[in-house]
Amino acid sequence: MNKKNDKWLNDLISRVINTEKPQFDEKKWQQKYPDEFQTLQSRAAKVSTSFLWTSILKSPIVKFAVAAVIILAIGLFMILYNQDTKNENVDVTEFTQPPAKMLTMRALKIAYYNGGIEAVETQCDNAIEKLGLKSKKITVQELLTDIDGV
Amino acid sequence: MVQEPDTVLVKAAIKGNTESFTELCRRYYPVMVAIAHSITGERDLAEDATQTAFAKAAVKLPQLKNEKKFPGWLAAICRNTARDLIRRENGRQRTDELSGTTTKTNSDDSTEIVREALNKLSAYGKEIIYLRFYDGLSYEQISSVLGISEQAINGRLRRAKKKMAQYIKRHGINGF
Repeated sequence: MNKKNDKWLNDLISRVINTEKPQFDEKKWQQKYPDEFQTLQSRAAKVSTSFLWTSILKSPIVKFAVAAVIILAIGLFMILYNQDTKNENVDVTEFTQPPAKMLTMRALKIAYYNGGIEAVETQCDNAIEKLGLKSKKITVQELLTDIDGV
Repeated sequence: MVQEPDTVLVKAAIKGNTESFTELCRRYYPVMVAIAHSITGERDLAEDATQTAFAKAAVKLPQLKNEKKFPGWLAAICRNTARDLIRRENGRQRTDELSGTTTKTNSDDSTEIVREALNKLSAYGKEIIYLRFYDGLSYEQISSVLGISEQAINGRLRRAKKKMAQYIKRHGINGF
């Protein structure tokens, strides 16, 4: 089709379709469909009640507050957990073991590796204390008498 | 409100903002009437179908997942409503009669043949012709409603007009 024929066809179509721009009359529409319009309006009422919650949850201040509470809770948990584990780390074997076991070669050897000769002495003292033996203070005179048999 | 983009208005309308919904109706009324007109063949029926489609859209709006697809979604409702209306209005024959009676009042042979040529087109072809020849519809509006590019609109329009021209030529109308 050339331009001339195209224009001629356009004119014919325009005559047939015969269109003037339609205008939407909102008042008539609302009167014609009151139920649908009311449904639309009622949705606004529902949204406004939930709007408060959504706006609270979307607020950056609330977000920061929630984040702070979570961080605080995690911090407290960590502190309490560490305290518990520290208590658990206390070696109670020396108090719970019977004195006989505390003085075996194996026990003394472990004590030596852990703290040297001082640890061996401490372990021996603890065992003796558990047995109820108390070292008496003796004078040098008495010691010599005991040795010489005098 | 008038300058707000469609997506903003659709979001507000979903939340029940009646002013936003009314503005959307105002914007899309001519396009929807043109689509319905291509189906009903009569202007008054097309306007009725469009208003009913808007009422359905007001209720179904929360079901719309993507605001950008509002024009196409509304057009689909409008097409279905227009077809339902036609079924109720004594079926397709009645439609042809109605479109015939409206033309007989002030039409000559050439306009009658052009009308016949228009009715011979496919639904897509007829729709694009109505959309293009309705007063004041931009390519942008047509593109958003049909979901196709402006080039595709031109292609579809050219093919439809070519078919019409062939029909008119066969029926002995001069000018080609």
